[in-house]
Amino acid sequence: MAIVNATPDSFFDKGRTYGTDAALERVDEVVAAGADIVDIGGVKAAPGGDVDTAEELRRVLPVVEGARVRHPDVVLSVDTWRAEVADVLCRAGADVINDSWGGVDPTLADVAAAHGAGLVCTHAGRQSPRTRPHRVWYDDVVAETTSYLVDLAELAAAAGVRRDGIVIDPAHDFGKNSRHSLLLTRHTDALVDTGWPVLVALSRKDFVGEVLDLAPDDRLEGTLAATAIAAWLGARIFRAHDVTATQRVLRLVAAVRGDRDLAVGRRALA
Amino acid sequence: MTPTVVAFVPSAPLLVPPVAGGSASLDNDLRLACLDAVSRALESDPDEVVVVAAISTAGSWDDGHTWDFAGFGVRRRPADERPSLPWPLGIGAWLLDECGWSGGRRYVGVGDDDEPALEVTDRSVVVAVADGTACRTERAPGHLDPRAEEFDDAIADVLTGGDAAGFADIDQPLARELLCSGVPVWQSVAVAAGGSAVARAELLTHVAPYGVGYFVALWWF
Repeated sequence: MAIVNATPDSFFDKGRTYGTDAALERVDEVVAAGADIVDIGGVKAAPGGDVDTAEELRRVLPVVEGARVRHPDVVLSVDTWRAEVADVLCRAGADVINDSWGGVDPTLADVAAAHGAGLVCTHAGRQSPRTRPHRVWYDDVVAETTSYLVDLAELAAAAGVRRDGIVIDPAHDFGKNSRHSLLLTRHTDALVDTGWPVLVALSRKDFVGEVLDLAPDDRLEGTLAATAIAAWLGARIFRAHDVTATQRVLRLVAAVRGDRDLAVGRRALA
Repeated sequence: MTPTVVAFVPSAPLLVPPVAGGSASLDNDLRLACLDAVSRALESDPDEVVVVAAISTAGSWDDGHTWDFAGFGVRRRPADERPSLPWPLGIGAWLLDECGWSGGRRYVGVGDDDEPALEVTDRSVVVAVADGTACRTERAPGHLDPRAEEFDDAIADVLTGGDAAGFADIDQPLARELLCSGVPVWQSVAVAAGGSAVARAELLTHVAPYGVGYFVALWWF
């Protein structure tokens, strides 16, 4: 799942793909690089200037419309917590709603159900959208995240979202400190064991930065290490800025797991 | 009755080195100021130390309890079998341990919606664990709010002036907007002071390196 930010201020790309043309170029690029899903968002996660519904749609709708025309077969995901926005974007061709603030608007599931769209159910620690975690405490972050996600997934299914379209995401760093994110990475298998497909969004996040004391520009290797571990433990979808690098890691992990054969089987075999 | 000394310290988990991890040394000055304040308060040789901090539900705990920061993902090593305190009180407990305090102690948690209350004797030291706003910078937990600095400066003035009554004047709705968690603690100190004058007040530190207002101060009655 490749990240496409139709934002002027997201933490890593800082507006590099802001504006419809730049965002669509980014869509073309990540699809060419082999992304199966493109996740388009119009509101950065961190606090900042207000982005209302109209502004969010102004940023995202033309990107979704353009991407739908240019790439009829790629799965288009939209990163929003607003049902009203999701509804318009699904009409424009979005296939998946990525509810990255974790069930803030319960009618989002109704929108997904109405359109036959997929839904990413996320654990953001019950934080309001665009707020930072502050001294958050979990008696057991893995157990709490897991049970919250299972409940959210079941609620989505009960609301009529297609069961094969429901994915769970522990949302590293959302409503969590870096150690919580590391624990969730270490115990990815607990989420996998729920039976719901697991999505992880690790790319260049602060928990990687705090382990290595590195800024977002220098977090690729750390991101890929966490990606490999989550993949080894059974995560299925990886929300990423760096598509080619992520794909190479995932292919290697799949080969080690025995899920994928060699691309070239020649060494010592001729 | 009025306590002998009140030591005001921040409620920042990163004061505790295992919580801060590899960056612990960056906050040595703040940590040393806290230890200095608590040590100097203990020089009054109190009968007991009362740690007071803001927690979600009011309650009190005896000295059979200890600090633990497992909920932040930090395991205490070596493990301690005693039951755990709510973490803000745990910060006070940790500071007392670091200062080598082996006398009596108890812990009082005050909630945002409770009437401020704190029972002490004139042989008590109070360690008040409380923070200012969390909106001092763009990277602050509550993002930048231009009103935050002025709010924190007013708290610093109250601490510098030993003006217990000044805590009663805090604009509570504004405090909530600015994510200031310390109000019920300060107001409990004011209640404990019971109108007695502060004989001497000293503000050791007033900083906000991560966008949260930290104060270290001492009041002698």
